[in-house]
Amino acid sequence: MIRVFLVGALLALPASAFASGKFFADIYAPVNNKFSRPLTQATANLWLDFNHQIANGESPYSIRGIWQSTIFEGNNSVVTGKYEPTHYEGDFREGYLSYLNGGFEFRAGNLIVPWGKSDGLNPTDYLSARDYRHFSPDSEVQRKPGSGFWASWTPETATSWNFTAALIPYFAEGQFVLAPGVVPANVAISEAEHPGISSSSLEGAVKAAYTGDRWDISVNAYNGFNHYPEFQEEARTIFTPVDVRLRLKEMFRRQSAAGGDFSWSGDTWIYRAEAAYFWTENQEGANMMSVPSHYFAVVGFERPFWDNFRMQVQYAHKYFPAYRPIDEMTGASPVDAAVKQQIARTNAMLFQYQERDQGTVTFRVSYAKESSGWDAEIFFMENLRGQDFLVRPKTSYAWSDNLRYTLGADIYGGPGHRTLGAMSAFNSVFAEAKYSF
Amino acid sequence: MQFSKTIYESVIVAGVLLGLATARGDGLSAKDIMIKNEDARKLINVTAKVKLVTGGGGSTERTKEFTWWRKLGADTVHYNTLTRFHFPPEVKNQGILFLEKGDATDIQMYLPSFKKIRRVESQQQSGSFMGSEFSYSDIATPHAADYSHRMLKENEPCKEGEKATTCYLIESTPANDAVKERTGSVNNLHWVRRDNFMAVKSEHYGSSGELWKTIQFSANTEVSTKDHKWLAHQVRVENAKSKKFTTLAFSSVQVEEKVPDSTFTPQNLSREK
Repeated sequence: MIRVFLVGALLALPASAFASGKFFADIYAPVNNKFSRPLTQATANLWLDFNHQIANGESPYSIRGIWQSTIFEGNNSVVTGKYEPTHYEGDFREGYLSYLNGGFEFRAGNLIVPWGKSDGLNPTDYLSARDYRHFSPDSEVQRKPGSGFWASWTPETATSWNFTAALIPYFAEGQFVLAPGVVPANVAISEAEHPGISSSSLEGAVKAAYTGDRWDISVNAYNGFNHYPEFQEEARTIFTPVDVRLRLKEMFRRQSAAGGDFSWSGDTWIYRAEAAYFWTENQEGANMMSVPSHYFAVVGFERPFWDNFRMQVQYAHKYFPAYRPIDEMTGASPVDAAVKQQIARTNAMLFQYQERDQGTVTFRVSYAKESSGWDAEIFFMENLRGQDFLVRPKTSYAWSDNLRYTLGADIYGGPGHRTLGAMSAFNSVFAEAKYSF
Repeated sequence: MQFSKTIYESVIVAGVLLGLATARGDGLSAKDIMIKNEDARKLINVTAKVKLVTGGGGSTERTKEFTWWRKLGADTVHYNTLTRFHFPPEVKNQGILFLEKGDATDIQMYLPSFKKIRRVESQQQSGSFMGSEFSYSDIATPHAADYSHRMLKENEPCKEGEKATTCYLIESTPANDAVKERTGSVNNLHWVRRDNFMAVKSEHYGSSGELWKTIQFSANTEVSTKDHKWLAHQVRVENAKSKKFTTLAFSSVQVEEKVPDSTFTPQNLSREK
């Protein structure tokens, strides 16, 4: 229904409301091709921004958003999530009605609401989700919207404070990309069924933020769903004890969270911290096929050096107090136990609860000299327990005010049963041409 | 006709006093002049469209356009400033918020591609503003109290654009290390018009003592006739070493409309328009 409203609103807007957007084409070429087609993925993307103030220039109402359309050429349906490797996807990346009056703003529609100050790893980013099947040099492209309502209030007499609330009847759906081998040949997967719009699928979040002199802090709370689906057994056919056919379905699990973030800028350094505690459906660890309750915290610092360089270092930690070893899972029979353990190991790899605690470091060095049009960076991330990692070197050049080229590579490594190591089948070099208008 | 000795002596004394008054800038010290300069451009509320052009030194000329809001704080000394970019498309909706507080300026930058706000460290505030030859601290307001001032010349011929005029030549040095670090310069020269106390030129010297950049102000316009406040509508900065330049051109200047305090909040900074 929201989509119908947005399409109707879009058609009613004058052409001048669509004055901007961008077109970008991405190619991911495999380093070590394990697929049948020559490219890991190629996409052609058109984003059309629309922004129209309703009635007249003084009106507090406006319609805003981005229509996102993509043509995919993927290697296989495991990457793109569709049966046809070549297909089109189009939807409102964002599309909402906005009301703005002084320090109060209200939005209703398709919304991307990213929270959290850390770089890339955001414990408090409850409301948004990413579709990791869409490869892009810009990870923000992967964000998916939820549909709902959002309000923000900054008191006129206390502008250091801000209060935000969100009510999301249709939450953002995230999707992991499944590397070859993660899903064995004897397993079929039914795609996740979104719970849809109902009172039981409603999400809510609140945040209070304070901005001080070169520092800021916020606290927040959330009740909703994990936006990434877990595998759950749907059906099982046992031909022999060693020939078991499984059908798994992807399930969105309920969770609640409370957390906050903080940042402070000194003369040379910027410090950030972000943390949250998650209460999941598996609070006592009784069902290790599902993510147990856990802490997730990130601390980091950033500083410039020389003239145009910046360095950023972060440490992230996840701790699962009710963790139980997956190998100790039992079942009604040895086959039943083996099936449950395999499902648990797959979910544990995707959601990083293979041990009671997990530490991750990220390191980014970047160079940017706007006057030359060049920028470059190297991003490195490693999970300390499994020593699986990602290295992403990237450089881009602004040919003109409108046109930018990017070249880079995604190199995953480490044991194949670890989260990042499993992604090594997608080791690629990538290129992008982006035209903004 | 013979003058009495008393009248003759009185004329001499008056002449000496007049000479002394002229030597001290009509009774004004260098600090007084810089305070008057700051006062002449002390607009309580201002909104303007700004075109920023960079070029020179063999580089391609590039244009950026932004809207600029500025409001004087309750202490009547420090400002809050918001810039929001409209052009080119790649920087559209990028915003930078400057909150001046005492010796330090809190600078926050909104990046629409990430939908997040990032802070700028104090050390970086002497760095380039959006790829231009202006620094972040140039965009924030320089204050007379941040410097020690010395009069070099009182009737220095100078130009505002092509128009010849007469200026005070003032030397200003940062009052403390915090100002030095924030601005990046250890010494500055200012050419300030004698008639309206608006600067027409300034030279900024780096830590090595060499000329770093020259800023020229022109099209000084009295935008508030009620309060006699002025704004330089054209500003050009040139890097002495690289010969790269940046120009700022202000248009659609509004000073009568009150800018709400909520304009200068991180929440408004992150609103894409």
